[in-house]
Parts: sequence; C-alpha cells; structure tokens
Amino acid sequence: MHGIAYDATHDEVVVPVALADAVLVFRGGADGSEAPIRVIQGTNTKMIRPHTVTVDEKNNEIIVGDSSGRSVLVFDRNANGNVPPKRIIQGPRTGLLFIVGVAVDPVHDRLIAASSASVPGRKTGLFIFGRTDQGDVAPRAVIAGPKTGIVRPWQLASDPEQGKIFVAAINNESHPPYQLEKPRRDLPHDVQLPSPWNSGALGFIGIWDINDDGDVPPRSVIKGDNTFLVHPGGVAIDPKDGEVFATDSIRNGLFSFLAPNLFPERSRTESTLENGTTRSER
Amino acid sequence: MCTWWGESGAEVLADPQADSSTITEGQLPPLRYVIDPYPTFNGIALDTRANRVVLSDENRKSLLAYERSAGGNSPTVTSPLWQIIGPQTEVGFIAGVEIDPERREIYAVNNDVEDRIAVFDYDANGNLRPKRHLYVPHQSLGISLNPARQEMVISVQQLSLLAVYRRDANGMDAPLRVIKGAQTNLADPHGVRWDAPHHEIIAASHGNSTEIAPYTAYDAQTPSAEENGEEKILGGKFVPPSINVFGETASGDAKPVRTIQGPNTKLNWPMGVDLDATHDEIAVANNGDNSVLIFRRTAKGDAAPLRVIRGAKTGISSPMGVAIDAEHNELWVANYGDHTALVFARDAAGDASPKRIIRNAPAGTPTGGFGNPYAVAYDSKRDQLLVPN
Repeated sequence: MHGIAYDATHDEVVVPVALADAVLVFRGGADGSEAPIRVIQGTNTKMIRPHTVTVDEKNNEIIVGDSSGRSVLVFDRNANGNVPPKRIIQGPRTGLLFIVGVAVDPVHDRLIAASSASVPGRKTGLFIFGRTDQGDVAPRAVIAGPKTGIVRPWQLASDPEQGKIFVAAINNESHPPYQLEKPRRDLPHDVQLPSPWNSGALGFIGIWDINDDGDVPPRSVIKGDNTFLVHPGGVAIDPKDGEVFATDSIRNGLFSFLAPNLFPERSRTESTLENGTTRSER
Repeated sequence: MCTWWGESGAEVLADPQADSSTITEGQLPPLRYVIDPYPTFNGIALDTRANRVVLSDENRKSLLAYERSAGGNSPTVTSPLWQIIGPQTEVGFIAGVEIDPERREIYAVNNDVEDRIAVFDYDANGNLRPKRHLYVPHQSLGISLNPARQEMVISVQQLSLLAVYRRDANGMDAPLRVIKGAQTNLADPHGVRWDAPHHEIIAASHGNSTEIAPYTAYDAQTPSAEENGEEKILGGKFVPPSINVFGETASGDAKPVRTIQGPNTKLNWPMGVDLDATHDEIAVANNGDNSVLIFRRTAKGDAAPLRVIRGAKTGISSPMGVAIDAEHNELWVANYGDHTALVFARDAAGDASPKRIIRNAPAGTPTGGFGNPYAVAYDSKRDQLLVPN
C-alpha cells in the first residue's frame, strides 16, 4: 500500500488497495485480521488503481488519488460499496499524470495533488485545485521546476491552520514503462537503469505555502546527512507536539523530527491523548 | 546505533541527538527512528548437491548463503558463508531467489523500485556487480527455473501474470510467453514453482484482483494509451486466495489445469511455494495465519491440506519462503516476522518444534516489520504512527 490516512474526528483509518481497486475504512485501533467497516470498490467508483488517500474531516469526504486513472476522486466519507464519486478531477487540462499524493486544506479551500510525469513536456510537482473543483479543470497553481528540488514527489500532508503543505520528495528516479512485447522500447538493451543504491537526487521533506505557485523553493526543508533520509516516501505531522514523521524506503525505516518552529501557532501543551495524558507526561 | 551501507562502505548511524541547538538549516537529526539493523528473510532456495541454502534479505537489501546443515538451538547469530550487499549489487527490495545448480548461479528478483533480476555466481561475496541482470515488470516477486527447457518463470503482482523468459535472458529481453487474463485465476500472484517432472507451473495468488489498463509510469501500456489517456475501468474485486497450476507451455488467457481454492484449503496470503516431487506434495508458506500448508500435488478445488504446521512451538512468524529437501527429509521456512529461518522434519505437522534454527539476529530481537514503507499516518488519539507496507 502506498497511502494511508487517519480521520481523528471519526477515529477511522483509510487505506487504498491498488491491486484490487478498493478503498478500505477501518475503525481506529483496528488490529490483526479485523475486517474493514466500509469498502469502496467496483466499476461505479471509477477507481483503476487507487494509490493514495486523504480525509477531509470538516467536509466529510474521502479523497483518492488514482495513478492509473490520472484522476482525483472525491467520495462521501460514509461511501460504501460500488458507489460513484461525488466529484472527479481528471483530463488533459488538469496536468495530472501519475498521482502519488493528495492532501486537502479545508481552511483555504484547496485540494493538492502530487503528480509525476514521464511524458516529455509535462510537469512533475504539486497541482493545487479549488477544493470543490471538478471535471477537466486547470489547477489554480502548480509548484514545479528545478528550484523546487522535486524530482519525484510522493505522500503529502496538509496543515490547514498555517496553510502549509508538507511534501515527501522521494526523488528516486522512476523507470520508463515496461511493455511486455518489447520492454522499455526506447532504451538500449544494455542500459543501466538507476537503482536505489545509486538513483536520482537525495530526497527530502519540503514545506510550501498553500499560496505558492511556480518554480519556487520550499519554505523549509528537512534534508541532508544528519537527517538519515535518503528517499523519504511518507510524511505525516503532529502539529501539537511539533513533530514531522517520515518513512524512508531505502532505510526501510520510520523517522520522527522535532521541529516546533514549523508549527509556531500551536500550543504544545494542548496535546492530549486518549488516556488524558500528554506526550511529555508519558 | 544502527549500521548501514554508506557511500564508502558500512557506516554507523549515530544515536539521535537530543540537543537541537546544533541543528543547521535543514540538517535536522531525527528525534527518534525505527530501523531494523538486521536482515529479514524473504525468499529461500536450496542446493542439496552443493549443501547450501540461499536466502534473500528484504530489510538490509542483501543475499545470504549458509551451509545446508547450518543452524541449531543457539540464541546467537548464525554465521553466513557469505553475504552479497552494497551499492554495486543492484539488490534492493528483494523477494524471490532461485539457484541454478548446473551453472552455479543465483537469481534474485527485486520486487519494487529496481524492477530487475540480478544474477550472481555461487561464490560471489560482498559489494559486487551482478554477472548479468534482466529488467522485469514492476512488482515481480517469485522465480523458478526449468533447466531442461532453458527457461525461467516469474510472477508479477501488479499485472497478475506469470512471465516465462529464457534462462539466460538479460538486459531488455522480452518474455517468451505470458500467462495473463481473466481465465487464469491469477490475482496478485506471489510464489511460483516450475514442476519440471510433470511439465507444470504452480503459482500462489493472494486474491487481489484487477486488471490495470491505461498508462502509469510503471504499467505495461501501449503508446496510444499514454498519449491519448485512454482509460478502461474494469473494477477490482477480492477473490479467495488460490494455488493455480498451468501447463508449462501455457500462454495468454489460459485456464489453469487445476486450482486449489476455498475455505477448506486454509489459504491465507500464500507466499512462497515449493514442490516435493519425491512425495508428490506442494508446500505453501501461508503468511496470513503463520503456518505452512502441505497439499497433495494433484489436489484441486476446495481441498484440505494434508498437513498444517502451525502453533506456538513452531516459531513460524509471517512466513515468506518455503523449501523442501526431500533428500534429507527436511522442510525449510523463511520467516519475515522474526529473524529466523526454521528447519523442520519434512513430514512435520501440527505444533511441531523446528529441528534447528538459523538466526540473522540474536534470539528475541524484534523486527520492525517494514517492507519498503512509502506512507505514514499519525493517529492523534492514540499517539501512534501507522505505516502500511
């Protein structure tokens, strides 16, 4: 699975299943082989390969990024079964190709998709739409270009209170498509494709403003030898405790960074867990 | 502390710094991290003639070889004969492994990211280039050779297919034939075994069923699909896990000659499969319920296994690979859920204890369980991090 989202309001976990065209919703705290409480699956869903998900807790919606459909699909949060999406963003004007990350900012009414392009002339980066946009619509802004440092984005996280987008820039290079009849037809037989040991640019966690547009560098970055990050694909945040979390496919590990300066508006004392304690008390 | 392979060889990750006053812009050391510094076994292959076993290691991204008789009851780490590891090896998110005793070669299938099979000589060791490599579709997993036919077969999860290549295929060589389509009953296939004596190919499927049609950066596609954005929505479904057996020359949307599928089979995330031609049995690493299932080779339908190895004494934990050594009457299991490979009596059943254990970490060392983690979510109610594999 390449995506996961936690819905704190309803205490649910949402995951995409790319190889069965499904989105599963589990109760929070689910364990073992526990069954999902809802399953979105079937031809009406328009899902082909749901790669990534997020939840709009304010507007009661599940947002799915579909890498094969090159589409962003918005479902009612309670959708269950073979149900159609409420809205779809899809088409040539969207600029979307291989969608690997989605995030929503209900405060600024924006929906963000991370998309990679292996088609010449198309953009790789962050595509920012109106939250309720639908159809073949152009993005309101696109954060892409050499100054961004994004070679290949992956999971996104949103901090709506601050209007910030957290981006896992995995930055390892993708391979050209494999065709069964003539694998990667445009490449020579003896080509040396990149491997994780020697691939692409160093990955990082980058933070952009929701109003950024164009070829702009990140406002903040977690990157470099001291971070241990090589190709981070996952990112999540805990604003109340001032932490940024990342998974790294090459390290095969999980990292936590304490960066309260990235969440200046939050009071860390507000962090209260289910059992009534704060992290510091624990 | 955590060892890793850096640009110039093995390096040690220092303990996270508690003092953030030394942070330079962007160079933020982690407050905490979860990394397993030890190998975790996945695929397994045996050569009884050369008395060695080779295991793939998904965590550290390596291949390890041991004496066939290695292991015991010691809680300490079992020393491998050698380990292939490092930036030159092209070994990454490794899964299936196969041995060619005739040519004394080892085949290692990268499941994700690298999208290639790396081939090494038997005595390769350390950080070295493979003697050849073959690019294969994304999410290839299992592999099995048929030296008599000079062919090998691999399973491909994402495309739900089996692809047969020349045994010495390399570079961008295309498959000779592909088994793929609705009639095949293949659904997220994992383990695959070529049954050369009976001219059949055995494949285990998890049951995630879809057919990915249009363009992505990874998928098989047509140029027109890429350029025109053609789309074909077929709808996915979950089907019961299965073992499907095909004729070895099958191609296209071929029907299996036999299928094992249904509640009596106890199949649950079947991973590696192996054949015991001597006793006419198939063994399956049943990852979903920490067991090994043994079926009659000719079983079909909703057939119950002949034997099930399962229980607390077995030590079986998220098994990925299984190998039968009919010559020495042993059955091997590669665990992903802890740091062990287990050797049982071939006819073990029930809550049996292993005869000996190969350890790649001291006994009791936990595993993170990560398998190429590409996402994370924060559960603010429980102060927990959720990481999907």
